[in-house]
Amino acid sequence: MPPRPSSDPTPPPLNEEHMLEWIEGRLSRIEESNRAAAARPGVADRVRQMQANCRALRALGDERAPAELMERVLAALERETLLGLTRGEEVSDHPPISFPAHTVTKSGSGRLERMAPGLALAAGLLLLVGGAVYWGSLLIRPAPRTDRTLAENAAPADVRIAEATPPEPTEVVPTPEQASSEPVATALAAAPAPLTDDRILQLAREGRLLIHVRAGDTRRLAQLESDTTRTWRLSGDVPPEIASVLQPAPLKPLDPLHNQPVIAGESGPSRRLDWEPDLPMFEFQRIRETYLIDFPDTQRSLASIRAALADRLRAEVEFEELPEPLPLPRPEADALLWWTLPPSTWTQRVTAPVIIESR
Amino acid sequence: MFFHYNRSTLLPKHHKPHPPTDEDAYDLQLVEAIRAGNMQAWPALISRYQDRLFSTCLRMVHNRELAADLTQDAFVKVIQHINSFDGRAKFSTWLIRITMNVCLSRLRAEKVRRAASLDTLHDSSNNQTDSFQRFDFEQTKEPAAGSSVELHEDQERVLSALRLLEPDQRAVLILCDCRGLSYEQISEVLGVAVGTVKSRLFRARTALRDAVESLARKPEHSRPR
Repeated sequence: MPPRPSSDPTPPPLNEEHMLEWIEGRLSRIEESNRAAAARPGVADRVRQMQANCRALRALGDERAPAELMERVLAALERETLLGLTRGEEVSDHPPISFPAHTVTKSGSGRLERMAPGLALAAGLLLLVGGAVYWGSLLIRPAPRTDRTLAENAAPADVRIAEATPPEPTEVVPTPEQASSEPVATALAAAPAPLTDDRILQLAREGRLLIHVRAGDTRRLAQLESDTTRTWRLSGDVPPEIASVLQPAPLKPLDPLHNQPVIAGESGPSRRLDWEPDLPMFEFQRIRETYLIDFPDTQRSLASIRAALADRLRAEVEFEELPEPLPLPRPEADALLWWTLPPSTWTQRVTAPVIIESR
Repeated sequence: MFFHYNRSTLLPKHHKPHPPTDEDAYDLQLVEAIRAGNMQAWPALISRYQDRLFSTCLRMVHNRELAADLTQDAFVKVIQHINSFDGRAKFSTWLIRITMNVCLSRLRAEKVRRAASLDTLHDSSNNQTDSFQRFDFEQTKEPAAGSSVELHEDQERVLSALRLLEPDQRAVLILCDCRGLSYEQISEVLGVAVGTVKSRLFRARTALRDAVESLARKPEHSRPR
């Protein structure tokens, strides 16, 4: 509220805010006149001078920045970006280059030096005790039960002979029950433990998984191969280097004459026979097809493969471990359509060879 | 000297409301683009503000090279802290705050350094004017065509007097008159209360008037250049 002119010969002084309003021209002309009339002598002149200064400052335009300023700032921006500062990382006062500090680890090395004799003594004692235990266990090891039985029934002189003489190998004649059960037990002992799903997936990642399918009906094989609705894909396009690795080495024929050199003339009665003997069935001839299957690296897809192959082909599906990883091809571009899915659904895909043979 | 001023130049910019304008919206778009990793937005932002920031620095230090250095320093700080801009203030106000802090820090450091070696400098009678002797004032801008010679002379005189003020007083005058900030915006920039802004501004205006008068009384060769 601006002060009104009064008849008081010594009007109260204007406060800073009133003066600023006046100087900065926020009063109407009438208010300005009233305020000038109410002010003490000389104040109006001082305000006019301040108004002039104010106007001079406001009339100043912006100076044009030097042309190289933009380049300098952009160069600084590049430096700062390389340092990662634009991501809001804290800036150290020290340069980003670290220098190896010359530190003296006198205390640590001194401690080690002081402990060295003790450690050596402890190691020596440990060796002595370990050696004594080992040799003691050898000396007081009990003799085999059969030898002790023989020694108990023999004379003292014979005891020494019995202890020094290795036992004669005795031929064990299996009973009929043993004879019938032993092959099964041996087979069970020799059979590898079934692979767990985790192990199967691990082998698939390493390229060491082989899926062996013994199919009872292969009529739906083509249908499985062309099915694109599943998360896994069965493909008959197998690189020759993979197929050759998966083919077993041909077995030698059972006929020993077959491999013997033939010394005969090219014609006449003694010429070489042009017929081949009837060779036994090679094992690889039972292999029907070799496929590659690529599937998401998940137990769910593994179960899907197992179920689909068993159901469609009426097959026994076995997962086998290969001794060496195969040079399997990478997934093709059209197999990577999962890229179009949200990243949360992305999973790694693996490839494994499939041998499908008819039973 | 009685000055016939144009009232339009003295319009109370300070008390105009400051609703978000298209300029502010464009600033925010640039900031968002930068935060999103669009490095091409930086040149647009720099070219948009380099003249304003450079002019602010030049008014503060009265030396073009030093002003360019300070402007660059201010932009580097903007680059470093762009992610800390929270949008509570206008982006232009935030930029001015950074720039003014850079200038005031430099001037205060210079003052401390100069005070430490004061006895090796000039005689005490010229201490006040020597404070800014090293910042050679270079008013390179020619008066606009059609503007009065009187106005140009007044500007020269006021700019010369401005160099005689303390940095804090200079800052508040530059922010208010040259940049046209409101009291509230000045208080944001300087980090002081609005009442302090008013008080400091009035004292700065009084000091500027006294400095102009003192320069008018001094002979021409003794004026700061």
